[in-house]
Amino acid sequence: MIAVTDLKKVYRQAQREVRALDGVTLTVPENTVHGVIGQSGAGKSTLVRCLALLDRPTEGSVEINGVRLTAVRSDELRRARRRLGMVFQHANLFDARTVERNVAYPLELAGLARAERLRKARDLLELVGLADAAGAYPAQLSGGQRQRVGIARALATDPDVLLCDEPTSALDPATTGEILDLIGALKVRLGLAVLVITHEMHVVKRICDSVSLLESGRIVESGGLTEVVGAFGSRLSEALIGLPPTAAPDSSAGSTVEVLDVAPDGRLAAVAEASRHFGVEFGVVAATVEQLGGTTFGRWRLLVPPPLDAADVVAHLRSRGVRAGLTATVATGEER
Amino acid sequence: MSEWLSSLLANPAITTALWSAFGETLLMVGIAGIATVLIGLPLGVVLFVTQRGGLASNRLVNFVLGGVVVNITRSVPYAILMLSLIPFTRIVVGTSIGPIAASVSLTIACAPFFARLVEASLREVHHGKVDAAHAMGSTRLQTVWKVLLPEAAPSLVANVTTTVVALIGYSAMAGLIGGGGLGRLAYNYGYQRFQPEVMVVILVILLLLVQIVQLTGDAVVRRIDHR
Repeated sequence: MIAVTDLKKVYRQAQREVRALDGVTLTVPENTVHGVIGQSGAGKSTLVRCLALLDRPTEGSVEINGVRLTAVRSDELRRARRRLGMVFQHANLFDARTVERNVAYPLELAGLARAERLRKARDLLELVGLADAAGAYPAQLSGGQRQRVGIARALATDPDVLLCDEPTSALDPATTGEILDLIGALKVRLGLAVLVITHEMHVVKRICDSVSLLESGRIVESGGLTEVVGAFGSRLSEALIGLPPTAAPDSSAGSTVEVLDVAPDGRLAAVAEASRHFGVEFGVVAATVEQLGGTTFGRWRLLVPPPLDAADVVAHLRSRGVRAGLTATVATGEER
Repeated sequence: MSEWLSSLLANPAITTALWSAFGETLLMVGIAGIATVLIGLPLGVVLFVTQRGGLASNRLVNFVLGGVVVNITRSVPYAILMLSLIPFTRIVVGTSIGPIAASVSLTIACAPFFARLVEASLREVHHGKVDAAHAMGSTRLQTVWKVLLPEAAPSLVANVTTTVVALIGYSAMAGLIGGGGLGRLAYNYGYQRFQPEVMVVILVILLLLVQIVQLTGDAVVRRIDHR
């Protein structure tokens, strides 16, 4: 488990204080992948560097299984770091070392005998599906393979926490899927607490159990994946299963409503039911259906034809427990 | 043509002086080369790690070694440096004559040059690798020894080659004030005794020497470069 409490980082830049992190608190229990998502400049890189203790946070604490990394002295910190494996965007492998010696590097630091660390390195390479590349050099591998080696290296010291900094941002879509599935599989197999920092929504959709939205150094929204996606009108919900903006309909054609139907059983019935109830056919302006964490989410923008009042449709849907709102108000996140 | 050749082969500059001069040049370049690497490599590492934002940032050390020692040595032309170092050379090796004495000024001229090249080589190592080394719990010394230097090795070897070639050039100049070697031979016979054929032979030997050094260096770089 990794627990981050009120983490702050203030840079001084030409007589100006820059609050890169402004009190970040989050907890990732074991066997969980937590995504931290944010645009560039939100403080993602600073968060990663502070979590890995590459930069000292100004305030706040980082704890791994109760050991406070921010409190320990530098020699203890180096040992404590072995509980945290780190995966980088560009893998950051050492070009002068073969694949197995890259993976063995943290074990070399830990003082393991050569034969033992190479054996362990081979086991880890097998775990990430690269057993036959042990003797190759990183330059001979593809980007996806390099990232697998990076993951194996991060796992060399049997860490409790895996910190992934944009692990797939440099990879093509197919390889991205493979790497994400590997991280997901390792989470289950090793019971890891995984923290993935990313700007890519599909990373969150594919492997995250919970997610936080980082903005201007603060976590502005956070929660389980199904929970945040089900929070109608929330920023994360809009980002993860949002609909593209569409032109407002002609007033004679009616007005549009936004609907979010959540179906744990995979059957999205709300729109059809409302259509039957009012005896009208709604026009679909935009729609998307996604399955996330075993729950099916349907998102519609419906055109309500006159003379039916859009507000009545919203009220009816809400009475059935479906999240709905008038289009204009949802976009600003006021109506839930 | 054959007459020219036979007179050349009968010339004592070629028959007796050449080989000992060649040996002296090799000795000068060899000693100074090894000393330059032994001094310049650690100096370059210190310049790199003490720079602003470096592994062991230290403005004072960086300023004294980089701004004062290295920059001053590098701004003095070698011809002047070697003359001004004569008293110092006497203290260090007991004489200011001969290839060993010449190695002192050659080292002092080349070590700061090499140190700057080392610094540049280390700067080429992607910073992510240093981050990775730290994130895995490396000490600063381990980061330098196990990551920075091996990662920079191909570029370091290429810079050793460049430095040795520069040393060969400087060694000819050192020959003029008593260092001996091919530079001295070329000056005494080729220039003062008007024997251009001796000059040509020495030029060819130096050309071959530089080629061999360069080709060897390139081959080593190819062998150790896995980038």
